[in-house]
Formats: sequence, structure tokens, C-alpha cells
Amino acid sequence: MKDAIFEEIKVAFNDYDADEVLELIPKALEEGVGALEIMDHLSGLLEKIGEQFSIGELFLPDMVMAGDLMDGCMQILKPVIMDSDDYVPSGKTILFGMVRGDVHDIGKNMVKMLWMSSGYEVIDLGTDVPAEAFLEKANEVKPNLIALSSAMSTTVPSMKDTIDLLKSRGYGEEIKIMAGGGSANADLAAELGASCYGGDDAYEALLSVKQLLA
Amino acid sequence: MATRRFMEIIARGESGDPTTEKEFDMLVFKTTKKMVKKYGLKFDPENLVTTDEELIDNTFEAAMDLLTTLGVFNCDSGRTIEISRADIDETLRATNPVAELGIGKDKIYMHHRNIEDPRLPVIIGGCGNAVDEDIRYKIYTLYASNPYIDYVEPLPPYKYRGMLVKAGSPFELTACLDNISLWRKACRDMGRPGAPIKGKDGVSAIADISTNRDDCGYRTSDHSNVYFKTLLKTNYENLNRAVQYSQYGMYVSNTGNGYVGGYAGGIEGAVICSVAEQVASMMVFNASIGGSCVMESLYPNQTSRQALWGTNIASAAMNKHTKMPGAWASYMTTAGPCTKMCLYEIAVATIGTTVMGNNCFGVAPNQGVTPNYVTPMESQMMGEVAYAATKLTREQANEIVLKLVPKYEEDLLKQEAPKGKTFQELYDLDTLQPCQEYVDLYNEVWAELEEMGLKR
Repeated sequence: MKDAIFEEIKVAFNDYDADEVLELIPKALEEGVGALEIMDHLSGLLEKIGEQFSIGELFLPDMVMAGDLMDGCMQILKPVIMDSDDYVPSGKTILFGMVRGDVHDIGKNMVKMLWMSSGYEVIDLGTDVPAEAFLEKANEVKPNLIALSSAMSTTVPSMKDTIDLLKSRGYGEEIKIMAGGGSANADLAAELGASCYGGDDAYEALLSVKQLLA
Repeated sequence: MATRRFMEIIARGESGDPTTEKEFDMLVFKTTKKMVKKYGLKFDPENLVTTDEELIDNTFEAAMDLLTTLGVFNCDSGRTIEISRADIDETLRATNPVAELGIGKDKIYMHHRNIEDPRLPVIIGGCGNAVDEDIRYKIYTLYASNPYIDYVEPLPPYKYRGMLVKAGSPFELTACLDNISLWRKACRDMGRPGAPIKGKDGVSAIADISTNRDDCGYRTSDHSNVYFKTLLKTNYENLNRAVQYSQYGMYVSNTGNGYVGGYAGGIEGAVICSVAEQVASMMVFNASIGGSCVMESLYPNQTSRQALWGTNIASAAMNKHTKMPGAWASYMTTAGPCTKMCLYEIAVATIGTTVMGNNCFGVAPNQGVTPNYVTPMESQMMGEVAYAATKLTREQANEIVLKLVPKYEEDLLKQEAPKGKTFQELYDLDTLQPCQEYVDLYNEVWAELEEMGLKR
């Protein structure tokens, strides 16, 4: 029974058929499949899509649609999981954004989707984010990692401003600060005072985070 | 001027259909996918410089279909700028096929070139990589005095008085003006005071616009780029650039961006989007010069088989169906200066785009991200290869390209392009002569190219 419904979910999920998936999840719950099991199955599907994206078989919009679909599923599953006795929060949160002055978002969105597909909760502050906004959000959610991105050489100083502000308030030790993006490299990240460098491409950014938050 | 109805067209973005940016992005993805299928576009790894006229025509038609279906989205007003087929036809009819750039004896005419056009292309050097302040003037004099480089896009300012240049700050504005003034000085010192400049090197519109001044900044005889936010999206900041440049009287140029893996989807979609953006730019940005930028986005490069195929088809579609001069060649390499791979990448990208009718723009080694890893030798290579490629047919070009790609393809796919050396390592900083190692490597690669059929 579980295998059959999981197969149905898989087919609908891979077609990004939101109506079908959102109908199948309550049905699976009614049939006695655990919410955590369903979430695990969905995470596997999302991770597979992430893998296909990282080798160029799928594209950014596929990641966006899959991400949206996962969000919809979580709306149904989260209350059920949190009501259960054995709920143990296990997710890690990454606070992410393009630093002030930088409006490029295609690379950021790719990295974000890869992180999300690997099970990290990503709080995306968007583009052109002031240092203060990173600090306020970090204080509010206490993420496991703060990831800053800069795509242009002229927004690197904004990255430094942000790192300086965050470090002045105690971030960078227990909660690491990662620097990345098209204008960054390992030497520059160290020069700016970041705890670590994201990587040369989206996939490296995923590997860096996996290593850092292991 | 690309269209006299420029202001009327952008005003449509104040009353068009309201939508969200995310909805528009997904619409781009779905519609592009549909167009690829409808027009039967398919990547062919063995025909990177295609002779398939039906494919070229269908690419252009697919792009126009996409543009008239979607229009352009203004992210700030949250509304769509609708574009009709009549708008496109009127604009293409009125397109000026020549841009007069620079002044006096140094004036250059950038012509629209046809596919397999024997006329020499204009060569625009410089671009991506930033350089340290202490070598900027030296490197500019080398660009200004190089016989294969007509003019440059100045290298972006990196530091100003020891500080990293910050976007939107007074230091960015000052650094940009200082940068252009220094380029003017280098041109004057080398006897070319009227040479044009391709802009811009600022990130913020305020820095770009503030540097438009006849005494020491950008002149009306220069041209500056205005880009779309990928894909087919704009905002007030970019529209302000376009309006100010047009009112100032300088040429607006555009690069149509088609990124594989983004909202364009696969390579065929990226090609359509690049063409659609360039035609849209003639109306929405009043652009007079185009450029077909089709690139991979996961590991940014323009020399994979599919990126080469895409760039060449987009260039051919634009140059066959419009009269707008196009400038795009070896914008970026994955390898760095003084490596064979870097020179192969420059050659392979330039051969195809020149034969397909482009003028040439490049080169930013190491994906344009490593400061000081740039020399005029790379732009010279682009220029020399482009001149030689004007003697080739598409069939001949394709043969050479297919011999060149395997020479670096393995390293590209493994993402192991060699970083090369910096300007400081490759040039004598007193005599400004390149080191023998680079000269020998350059000649060695040229000998290989001649062996393949590209005559210097």
C-alpha cells in the first residue's frame, strides 16, 4: 500500500503536479503512512531533482517548481509532525542573501535550491540586502550559518561591511559566516574576515555547506 | 537611434498587465520551452558553426514569437511592456546599420556585418578582470597602442586609494571617472585622443550616469551597455540608464543574455532568449548595438560545445534578420593568461562569431573573476583570429572549431582550467614588453591554427 502511494506521489511530484501531490499526501496520512516517512520520501525526490540540476539535466525553474511544491507539502506535514510525540527538530538553517548594492540573483537562486534540495532550511533575504538586515534576521532566527554573496567586484566592500558588523556582534565563531558569489574566491573570503569560502560554483557551495554543517 | 517611439514603448510598463516577477519568470520558462518545440530547434554538437539556414530563420522567428507573447516585465511597476509584431517590424526597418564611434581622425565605423562578411570586424578589447591601480595606466597604454585593438571597455575599478570600490558610494563614482580619465590619457599619450570607449564599468546607475561628461568621461561618440535582468525583465534603474544615455546622445548597446540552466531552460531556449532580448533592447532601451551572449551558468563558460553552438546561432539569427551591428566574440575564457587552453578558447569562440557576422568583444580570462589575470595579448589574439576568420566560409570555420574543441574539452568538463599568470608576471613593468614565454606560446598556438587552416 505504502509503495503504491509513494510511486503515485513520485510521478506527480516529478511532473510538478501540485493538485495531485497535495491530494495524495492527506490520502497517504489517512492510510496510516507516517508524516516523517512521507517527508523523507519527498526529500529524496527533491534531492534527486537537485542532482539532475547539478549535472545540467534539469534547470533552475525545475528547482523553483519543486521547491514550491515541497513548501506546499510541508504546510500539510508540519502540523502533523509537530503534533506527534516523537518529533525531534533536525533541520539546519542558513541565512542567505546578496549583499547591499548587488541585484544579481540567478546564481544565488541556484545555490539556494541546491541547499534546499539537500534538506537545509534557507531563509533568503533576497538581493541588495543591507548589513543591518542580515544582523536583525540573524538575531531573530539564530541560523546555523550566515551565507553572503557578491557577484560584482564593487559589491565586495559591502560584503566586508556586513562581515564586520556581524563579527562585532559575536557572529563568525559558533555561527559561521560564509562568503561566496562570482566576485569572491578563497583568498578574498579570508581577507574579508569570513569564516569560510562558499566555492567556485553552485555544487561546490553545496559541498562546503555539507562539510560545515555535518 | 533604434526607435523614435522609445518613450512611448517604455510607458506601456505603467499600464500593462500586472503580474509578479516569479509568475513572469515561470512564464518565460514555459513559453520558451513551447517555442523550442514549435520551431523544432535542436542542439547539434557536430555543427557548431551551422550552415542550416532553416535553423537560423526558425531561431529568429521563435525569438520574435516569444517576445510578442511575453513582452518585457518592469519589476518596479509590476507590469508588462507589451511588444507587437508591428513594433518589431517598424524598428527593424528603421535600424541604422552603422555606429559612428569616436571623434576626428580616430573615428571608427562599426558596421552591421553579414554572415561570412569579408569586411574586418571592429575589435573591442579589455573588459572583465579588475587590475591593481599601479598597473592600470601601463596596461591601458598597451591596449591603446595595440594594432589589433580598436578600443576597449576599461577594466573595472577594483580599489581606489587602497579601498575596495563600493557600489553606490561616492568612491565608486570617483573611481569610475578616474578610470575613464586614465583611459583617455592613455589614448592621448599613444596618439589616439579621439578613440571611443565601450562602457560601463560602474555597477550603480548613479556612477554610470555621472561619468557621462564630455571633458573627461564618456562622450556622445561612445557607447554604453544597458542590460536586462535575466530574462526579459527590466527596472527603473536600467530604464533610467537608457533614457539618460539616449538624451545625452551616446549610443546604447545591449548584450542579449541566454544562460543555459536558468529560466531559458536548455541551450535552445537560451539562444531564443538571447535573440529576443537584443531585439527587445532596440525598443525598450533604444539600443543601436547588440551582442549575442549565450553561456553556461552552472560552470560559467562560453566555450563548451553547446555554448559555442548557441552563441553562433544567436549571432547568425541577429545578423541575418536585423541590421543592428553586433559585438560579441570571446568575452570570457575559463583558463588564464599564458596557457594554451586560454588561447584555444579565444580562437574557438572568435572564429565562429566572426564568420557569423559579429564585431568582436573580449577577453576576460579566468571567467573574469581574478584580478590582474589579464593582458592585452588575449584581446590581440581575438583580433588576429577575427581578421583571419574573415577569409573563412562557415564550413571551413566549423572544421577548424571541431579540431580545436577536443584540445581543451576534457579540462573544461572536469572544471580544471589552468589559472595562468598575472600581468605583473607576464610583462616587464619597465619596458612593457611581454615575456618570451608568452610570446613563444602565442606563436606556438598560431602555428597550430595555421596548420588547421586558419591563415594569419
